[in-house]
Amino acid sequence: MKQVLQTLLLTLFSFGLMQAQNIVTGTVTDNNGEVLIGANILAKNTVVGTITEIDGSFSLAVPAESDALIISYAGFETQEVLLGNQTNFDIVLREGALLDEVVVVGFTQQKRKDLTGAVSSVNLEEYSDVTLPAATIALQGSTSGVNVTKNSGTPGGGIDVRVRGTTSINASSQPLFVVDGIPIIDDNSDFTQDGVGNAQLSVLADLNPDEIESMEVLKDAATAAIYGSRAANGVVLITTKKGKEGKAQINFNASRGSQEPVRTIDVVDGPTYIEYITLLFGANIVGTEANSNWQDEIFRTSTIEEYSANISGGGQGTKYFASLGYANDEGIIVGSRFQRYSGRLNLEQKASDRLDFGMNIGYTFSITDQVQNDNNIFGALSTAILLPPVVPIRNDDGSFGSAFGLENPVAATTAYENEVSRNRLNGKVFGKVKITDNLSFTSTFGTDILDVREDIFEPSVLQSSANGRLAVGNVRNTRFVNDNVLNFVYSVGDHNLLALAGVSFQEDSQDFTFTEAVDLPTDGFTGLSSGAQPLTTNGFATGDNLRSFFGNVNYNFGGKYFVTGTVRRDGSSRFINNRWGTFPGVSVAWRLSDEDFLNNGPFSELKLRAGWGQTGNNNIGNFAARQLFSGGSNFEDTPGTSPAQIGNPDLKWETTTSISLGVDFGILSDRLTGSIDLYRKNTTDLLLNRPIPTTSGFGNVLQNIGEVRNRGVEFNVNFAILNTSKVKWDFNILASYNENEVVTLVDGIPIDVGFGSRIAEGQPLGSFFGRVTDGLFQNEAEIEAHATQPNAAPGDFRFVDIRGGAGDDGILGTSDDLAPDGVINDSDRDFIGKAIPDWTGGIRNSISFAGFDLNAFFQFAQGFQIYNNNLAFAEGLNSVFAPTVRAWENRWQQEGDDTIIPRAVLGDPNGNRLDSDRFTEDGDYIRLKTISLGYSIPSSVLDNIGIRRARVYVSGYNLWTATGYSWFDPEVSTFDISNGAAGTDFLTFPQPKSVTVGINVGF
Amino acid sequence: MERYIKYLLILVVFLPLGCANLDDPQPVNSIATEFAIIDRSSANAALNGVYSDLQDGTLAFDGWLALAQYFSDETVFTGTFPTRLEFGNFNVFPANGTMAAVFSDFYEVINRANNVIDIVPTLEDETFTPEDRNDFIAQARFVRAQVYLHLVTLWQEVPLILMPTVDVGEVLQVSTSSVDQIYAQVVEDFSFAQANLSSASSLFRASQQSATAFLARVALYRGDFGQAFGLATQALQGVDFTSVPYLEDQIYSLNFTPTDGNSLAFFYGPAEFGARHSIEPSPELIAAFEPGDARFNSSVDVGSASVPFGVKYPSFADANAGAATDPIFFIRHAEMVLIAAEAAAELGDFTEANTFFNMIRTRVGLEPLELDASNYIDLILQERFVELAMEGAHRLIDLRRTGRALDVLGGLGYDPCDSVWPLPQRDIDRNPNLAQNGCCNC
Repeated sequence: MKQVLQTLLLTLFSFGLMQAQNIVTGTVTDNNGEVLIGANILAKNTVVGTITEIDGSFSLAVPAESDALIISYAGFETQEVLLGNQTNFDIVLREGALLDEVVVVGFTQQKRKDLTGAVSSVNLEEYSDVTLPAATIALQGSTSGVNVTKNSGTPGGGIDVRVRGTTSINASSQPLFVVDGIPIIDDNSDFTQDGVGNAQLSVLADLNPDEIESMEVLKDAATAAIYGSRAANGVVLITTKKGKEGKAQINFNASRGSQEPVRTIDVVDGPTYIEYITLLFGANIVGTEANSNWQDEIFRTSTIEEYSANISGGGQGTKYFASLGYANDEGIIVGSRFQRYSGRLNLEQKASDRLDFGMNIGYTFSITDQVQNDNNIFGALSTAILLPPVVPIRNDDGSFGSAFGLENPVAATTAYENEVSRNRLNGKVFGKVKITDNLSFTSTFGTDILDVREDIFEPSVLQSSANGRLAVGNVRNTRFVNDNVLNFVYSVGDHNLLALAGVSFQEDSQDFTFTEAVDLPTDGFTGLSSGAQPLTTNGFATGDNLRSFFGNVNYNFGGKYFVTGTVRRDGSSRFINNRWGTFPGVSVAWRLSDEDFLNNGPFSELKLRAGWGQTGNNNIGNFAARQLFSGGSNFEDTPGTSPAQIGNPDLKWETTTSISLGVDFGILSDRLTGSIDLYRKNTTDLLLNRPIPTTSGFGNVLQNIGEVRNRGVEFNVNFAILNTSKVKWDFNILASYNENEVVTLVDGIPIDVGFGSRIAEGQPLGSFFGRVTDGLFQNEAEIEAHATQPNAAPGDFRFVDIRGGAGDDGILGTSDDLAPDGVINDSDRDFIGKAIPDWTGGIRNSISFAGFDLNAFFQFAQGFQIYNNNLAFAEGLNSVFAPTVRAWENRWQQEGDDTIIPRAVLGDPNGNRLDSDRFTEDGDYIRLKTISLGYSIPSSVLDNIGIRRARVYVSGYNLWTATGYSWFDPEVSTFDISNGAAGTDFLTFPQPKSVTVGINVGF
Repeated sequence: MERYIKYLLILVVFLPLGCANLDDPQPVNSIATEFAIIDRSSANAALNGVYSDLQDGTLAFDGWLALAQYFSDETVFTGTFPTRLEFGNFNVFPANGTMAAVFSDFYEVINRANNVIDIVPTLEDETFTPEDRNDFIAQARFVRAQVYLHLVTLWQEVPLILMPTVDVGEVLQVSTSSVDQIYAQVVEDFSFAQANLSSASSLFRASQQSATAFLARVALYRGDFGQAFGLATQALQGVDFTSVPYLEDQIYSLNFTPTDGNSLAFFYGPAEFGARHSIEPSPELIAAFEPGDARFNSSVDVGSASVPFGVKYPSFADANAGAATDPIFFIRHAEMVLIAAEAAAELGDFTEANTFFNMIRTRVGLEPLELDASNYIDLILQERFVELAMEGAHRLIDLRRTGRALDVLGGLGYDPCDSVWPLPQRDIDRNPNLAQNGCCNC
């Protein structure tokens, strides 16, 4: 405002000096053709200037000594226009390079160029052509240091977000998500109570990406410390769109397309299955001889579509943004679907010179239709892979064919009903009082209310329910937040100070009910009361409270030397003896490019950053510190109680101490910009379940014991390859390296999780542990020559004799392991892979030319393995499950067969299916995550028909993937947001690929 | 300016300084341990919790039944779980997760019982009479003894823990006790129960009769045949055995209700009945039934589906949803009759032995047989095989205690070292004082 006043004064002043001047007029718009109000126009080499009016127009008397105009606007690149003889100019400003953008950092906003910490940003505009599974997917490959995994292709399914590595083992490692300043109920749980396998839903899928302006990730502890005990995993700040002053702008976006599986798995057909089952059992024990292709039955080409409309604008102190949206993702497996209806109103009113108030409110209603999957014999994909093809889709009597208790895949996708509906209201009201010109006070009341209801109906035609089953679950989550913040801004000379102090209160409560009944009269009855047997009535409530005090000081001297200090003090009801914790952060920066000795160097920007901070993680159960007896241990339908947990009153939050170093650079007048960041994070006092002897009646007790370390490097380079008025080509590449290591566990004792996963000291989280295979035995002589391996026969795996035992410490894989003992047993297991990639990143090319725009975004992950547990069943060749063609055709049959697939043998006497490196596969991949090609109809055409902008586009998602992984897709994690058992694939809903066409129209 | 101070005051007044109290909220389905058992009524709830744990899903199938049945000639493994297959193959590794779960779940029952045993004497509740208290303690000690008996027969030497777990640390690192010590504790607990149980007899809870019956079983296993005969006949007093149909002669069974049911039939049943068919009666078991044996149709079904299947737990329709109410027969009068027969034979009294032995046979429509010194072990083992088929771990224990395990099961993969199951690796890892036993693969 001050700047504007100055310019106005200067403008007025200049009238007094009017002499030998030209009157120049024109308009200033952005590259979307939207007018820019209040853009600065300055006559070069003078102090004469003006600002644009509400319609973007300007008029300026330019003194004779000036030969050019300089046009600037916050967030846009400054442009210089030569005057010549022209007197009317239509100036299009290009959105600013990264360094000029404004980023939200906790309770303040700063220019990126003034940051001292490590903050990544995503502009959701870049994803507007793509129907994202959830807004958080926009962080994938586009933010350095952030590793995002969509754990399955389930519509609305769970997403793993890891900022600078996995910091925790038992507490959540998901970052804190904050929408418009209000921490929201996050993705640690999907609040469903009836499992469909392992897959979870993402409650963040309720955010409509189209309402989001940008997302900022606070990566380093110095910056994230403002969120104290919840910031150890980083903080994702989501900012929704706001109105700008000016006339109302209406935008419609519509897109529709289709999606399909990336691939299918070749499973044997009916006749081949009969050969297989006869080999194992001597006869076709299934008894039927159909030839069903189950994957054809459950997979489909399905619709994906998204429609949204918004209106924004403002005037007379009011700014508004209102939007409506609908998204429909019909999954690639029949019966799965995610639909979202969303609405938002963001309103801000300047009541007086001193008082602003406003509200942001977003409402979402979403419906997810789920099918069962993963480790589940009733799962759709599970049975589509494993159910023998000789089973008919329907028997002669019309009932669903089935065998061995496995669900019929068609029944699993069409008869099973599971609908999760969520009502979500999040928003805030706020008031801001300007106490003096330097001091203001903001009070914000925010809420996030998330109601989750699930309705499950399993009719009697399903294997999973003999006489029908109904279940209804309801969960109400309520969060109430109040922040009161004093802001202080002061500048004198080269000293610039921005400071704040605040208090915050947060109350969370959750209320769960779940009811289940079986034995329905017929499948036509779907009401709970019809069930003859009420089975389950569960209900419980829980919650936690958080009180906080925080402060933050940003000081810089002349835009060259920066210091930021932050401290937060949090008190949490989750703890008993250690309620209060203090979380400090300090960071500094030095802009070398402004120093005299670099003034004429190649750098248009060169800034060094360094920071240190401590953050916490209190994401454990609300009552985990207490010693408790629980109800529910009923007997003969009379109430019973039992010891539930030993408890630990000394529990406290996990602490992450991080050091971060960074450099930002820009050369060629900021045409090439980038940053390099280094970090080291030590998370101590990990909330670990100390495994205790199970003879105590308990498996473990929660204690603050462990330590995990993350180290990494992040690179980010932006290059405006071409930047002419006709052609623009922007190139961005970013890559992040992360190295995770479990430093300390309880007494060094490894923790086994998932199928083949082990958490062990000296190893990264998500390590796989199992036997090591060394080819197949070709004959008895080879078995004789090898270490004793019980029940081995030719055609079985030869397991490597790694060691004779664990040594004195009792832990396998440590230095005191015993020498190989000539016997193959559990001691011969070793670390055989890891789930966390070394490198992740993305490459983006954006090209615009003559109204066309092309945006191609590649995303990659390198240096990790997937534990493909599918093979233990689909290539086990030991039981009734249908094998893959690959396993059947390549199995060992006789001496000399050069293959990696063991013999087919009933019961697997050798343990070919034991956890081993047979199941770890390299997961490295690079994929064309998103691509879109658009064409903007020229405004010369549109102006005549009253349309401000119109653009059509075609876009693709996951269209191309290069990987050596043998199952559906390398982006997979059956255990969803698990820290220790990440990267296992087991009958998990695979990722889709899609093509959509769309249109954006603006009035 | 005053106006703005007014605005400020309004905001300050609305500051919810009273909210977010750190002493709130409280759990609703749990209670701090010190308030959990405070009087007779809450002690009764804790006692229910002890019995309830016997129904634990892992114990119901794997613990009480399947693992030992796979590990014998009683059933064959037809499922898909590699950990159960290890039992089917007589090739159990210490890292076997199913076994570890069973082992720890048994100790969870023991801890619950120990809580009741420890706390009940200290309660300040005047309405809680000494007899009443002793009855509660007797019930808890009964369940504890039942679990230790199961552990000692399958694993032999295990840690003997008699105090509730209230703290962590070295106190939990208990080493194994000898088989004799464990049996001594089992006998002491059952004897205490026999002497102090005073509540109305229930089929589903500890009773004087069931304590006596268990003591008879223990005496037989220990080779104390005089005691075994006396206790078995004591447990049979007033029982008109031959007039009670097969399986209705229960002394003590594990109760299930529709809301607190089991899935046993889901594992035993065939695919045609919507079941998983993880376990199948072995050809040896099917062949062991003589023609005309009335027990056959109550034990196995070889005609209704493509595969033979066990029907001791026949609620196939409800088992999928875990709502089956088929009881687990912990101990029946028939076992007492067979103990009496075996003990008498061991003591050389074949008249008495034949009387008891043929009560079993005539009840199910079979011709009497003549036990003598040369055939009695074979005939009694055969009779126990079919009479108690798929009701517990009887077959494995019988073969082990009579020294027949290697003869009968050797062909299936049983080795001398299979006389014990491995102690779970995770407990070996967590407890430096716990030494592995002499199992195979150890």
